Amino acid sequence: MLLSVADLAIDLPTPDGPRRVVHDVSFTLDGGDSLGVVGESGSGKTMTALALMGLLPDGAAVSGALRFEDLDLVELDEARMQKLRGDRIGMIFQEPMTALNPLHRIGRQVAEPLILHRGMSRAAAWAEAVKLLARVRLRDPERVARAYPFALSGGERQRAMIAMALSCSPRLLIADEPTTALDVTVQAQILDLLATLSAQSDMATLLVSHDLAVVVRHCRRVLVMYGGTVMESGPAEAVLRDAGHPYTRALLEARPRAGAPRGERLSAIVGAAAPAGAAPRGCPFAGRCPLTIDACRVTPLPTIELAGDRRVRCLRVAPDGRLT
Amino acid sequence: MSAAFPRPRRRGGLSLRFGAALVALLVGAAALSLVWTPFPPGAIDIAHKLAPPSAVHWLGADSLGRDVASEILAGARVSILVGVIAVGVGLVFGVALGLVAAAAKGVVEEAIMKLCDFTFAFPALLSAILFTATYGPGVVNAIVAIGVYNVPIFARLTRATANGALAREYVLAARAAGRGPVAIAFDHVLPNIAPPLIVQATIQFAVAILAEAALSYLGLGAQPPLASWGRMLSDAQDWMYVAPRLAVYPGLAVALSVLGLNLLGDGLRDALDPKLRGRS
Amino acid sequence: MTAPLLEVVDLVKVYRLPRPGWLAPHPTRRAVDGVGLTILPGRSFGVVGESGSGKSTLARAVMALETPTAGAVRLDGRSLFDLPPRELRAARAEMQMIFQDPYGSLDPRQRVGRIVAEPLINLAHVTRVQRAARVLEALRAVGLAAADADKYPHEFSGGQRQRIAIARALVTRPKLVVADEPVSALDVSIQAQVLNLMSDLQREAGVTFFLISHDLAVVGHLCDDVAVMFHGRFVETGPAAALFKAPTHPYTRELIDAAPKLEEAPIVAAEAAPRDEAPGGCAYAARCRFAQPRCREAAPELSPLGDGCSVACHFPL
Repeated sequence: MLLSVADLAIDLPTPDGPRRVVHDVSFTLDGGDSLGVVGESGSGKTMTALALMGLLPDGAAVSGALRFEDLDLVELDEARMQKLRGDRIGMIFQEPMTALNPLHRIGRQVAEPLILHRGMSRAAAWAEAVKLLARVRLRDPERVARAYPFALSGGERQRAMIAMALSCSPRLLIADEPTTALDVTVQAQILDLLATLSAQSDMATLLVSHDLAVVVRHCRRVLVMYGGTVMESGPAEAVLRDAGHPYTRALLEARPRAGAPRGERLSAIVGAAAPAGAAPRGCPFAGRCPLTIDACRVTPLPTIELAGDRRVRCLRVAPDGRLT
Repeated sequence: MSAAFPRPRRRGGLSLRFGAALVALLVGAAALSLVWTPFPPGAIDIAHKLAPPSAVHWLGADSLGRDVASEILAGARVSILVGVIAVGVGLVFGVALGLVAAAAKGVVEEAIMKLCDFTFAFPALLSAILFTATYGPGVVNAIVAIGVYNVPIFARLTRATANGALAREYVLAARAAGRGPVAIAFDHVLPNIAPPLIVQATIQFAVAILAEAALSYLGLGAQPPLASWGRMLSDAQDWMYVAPRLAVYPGLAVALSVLGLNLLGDGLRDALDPKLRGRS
Repeated sequence: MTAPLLEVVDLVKVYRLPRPGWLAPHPTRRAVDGVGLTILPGRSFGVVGESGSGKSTLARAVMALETPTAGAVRLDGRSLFDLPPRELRAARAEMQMIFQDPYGSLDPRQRVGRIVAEPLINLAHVTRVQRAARVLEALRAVGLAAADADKYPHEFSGGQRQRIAIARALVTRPKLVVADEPVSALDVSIQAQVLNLMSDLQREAGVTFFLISHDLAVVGHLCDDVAVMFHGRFVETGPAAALFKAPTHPYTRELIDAAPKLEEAPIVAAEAAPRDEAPGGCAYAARCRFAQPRCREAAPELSPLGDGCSVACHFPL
């Protein structure tokens, strides 16, 4: 077990006191496996990813068990966390323009983790950086290494960031909306690249996205989050084919289908997502869910284990997976 | 990982309250001096020269027997007058120039900015001294000298923030709705750039008070019998070893006024953020 | 034969970029390079393209927010750029715009009622009382309450703000609404709500949309006719259903294949061996799987294929 998360809870400070934005999140990830975390804004998916890297905002409190390679991430101090970041855990962010330092050349930024964690010399690290840039399929890697971020396109910058994240061959790669800011053709290429690279090096991938289609097609397993907690988890194929949770089903049906008759009514979920932490007990989806009953608002969510390593957290789902 | 929750700041909070209180004190002192002072300001009374604080002269008397408390109150008048007019001039002309620069762009913008740079190239206080030395000392000239320097400060700030506001989509939406450039400037740009301008205005007010004190200290600002904190500081110099308190009172008055204005500016910056409105 | 609602003829917009040195010439960028289209009332039109295709510039030119370098835009037969400013402002009542960013397109310092009423300020024939009534009517049409008119934008979620933007676009009862990526910034479930609203408006209020999007599914959902834009030009046009089912231009094919779909895995175009840009040739030739020498010599023109479809390709699929 490379990564194991159990009963993760995250509290953020607000003017009105601490607010629990993530609660009861549990999952595991083996080396070489891929897990997609999908959710809309306010679902807590980004906070979960940040918690793994120890990058939560000041004042945030984390509880629960977060274990990476036998290390307890919750107890780790900042100095030891820094040793992990970039070395054994790599992270890619959504906006390559803001995640890359505009004042440093790309080559230097890709080389930085190598100098820091592997003790390479500048020259050796630069040479390795050029090789990495070629590995992420960048055209003319020498030129890219010498360039500054503003001179590259969005897709090129994202590839550079991937090169940087992979430079020390991490065991775990966390990608937070890596392709949301990119054109759809580039997006497909980047996701394909990530899949190839992780297969080549037996690296585990945690992909966070709001796009269910992206997650389901590029990850072996999927975790659906809403209102700060997990609604459903399981193998992507199975969840896609036969979603157990009403929220997952609603998400699947809400997308306009290419080729559908024009103006066909989409089954939209009424209302808006409540901010995470708004429903202290009961199900955060209660009220918006078409299957809501009174018990949904007050009863803590059960975890129903279904066949095929699937879990659904819903009061209306029976142990055999059918709706009650 | 830490489990501590830092105290979140409420709207403006302490800065705003403290600053507002000090500024209120300043304004109150000036207003009060218009209707009443313990002694007529400027009234010379050699018999009581350098009197220590007593029931009659609450803060004592200066080298010419003038009542210090009355002089301080009356001095507030001058400080406020200079601050209001100098900053007012800076705001009116500076904001207008800045808006024109931001909207017109191109050569016009360049020209206005170069004019500002030109003004900045001259050290402010030295130029004020030069101006008043040339055209004669006095409150009016001091105001002009200080006010001139506020114009480019507000022009630059307005241009920078207006550029930001003009690039927002809601300005494009207003154009799509058929609004003209002047309507957009008043309806959309000004309200959105007002907070930094207001904060800068409080800062410039403080600067104006300091500048007036400096000019008066050099004998170039308010002339006797007009009371001015700067002049009081200058007079107090000669009596440093005999009655150091004569420097403390006006010095404290200047310091508290400047502090109050800066705190007010800080507090206003937070209080004026519409995203924090409705929560408190 | 109905009169067209909007006509764009040979629209060109060239941007002058800052020059690299004092004596060097200004480089130029042809953001829109000769685009023509016709929108009939009741038939919504969509433009699909990626970043850099020029679609947003096209939208702004159609709304007369940018002056084109060449070409004409005619609304109801009247050429917008030939109108004197006052008549142009009056003409804006007939066409309104929805922007992509629900957080940036509403002035944070104004109340919602005031924001929605803005397009009415210029209309002389609408009195203040009528203005208030129209604002309420517009808010109701987008599913918001009358009480919402007194609130500020920051009190609403992204989806609700987009509804406010739509209400603002509807308040003058325009014939044409230009929507630039209206749902891209919204969560999937909210997207569906807003798309349903837009469909309802098409059906019940007779609104014709000119929709710009990078998302094929969104365009297919709302539009009757579609144009695919690449590097400032239309490379393919035609009725939406036909275009998506049987695209004729390789770029359209690439877009359809790459889009994340639930129904099937995306097909990633084998990355074409990079070639240098060939000025004068087809702009897509540098990345086209099927490029031939002819493609790099002459840029193909948009030519009709029949059934309302046109394609700009020497070797259509």
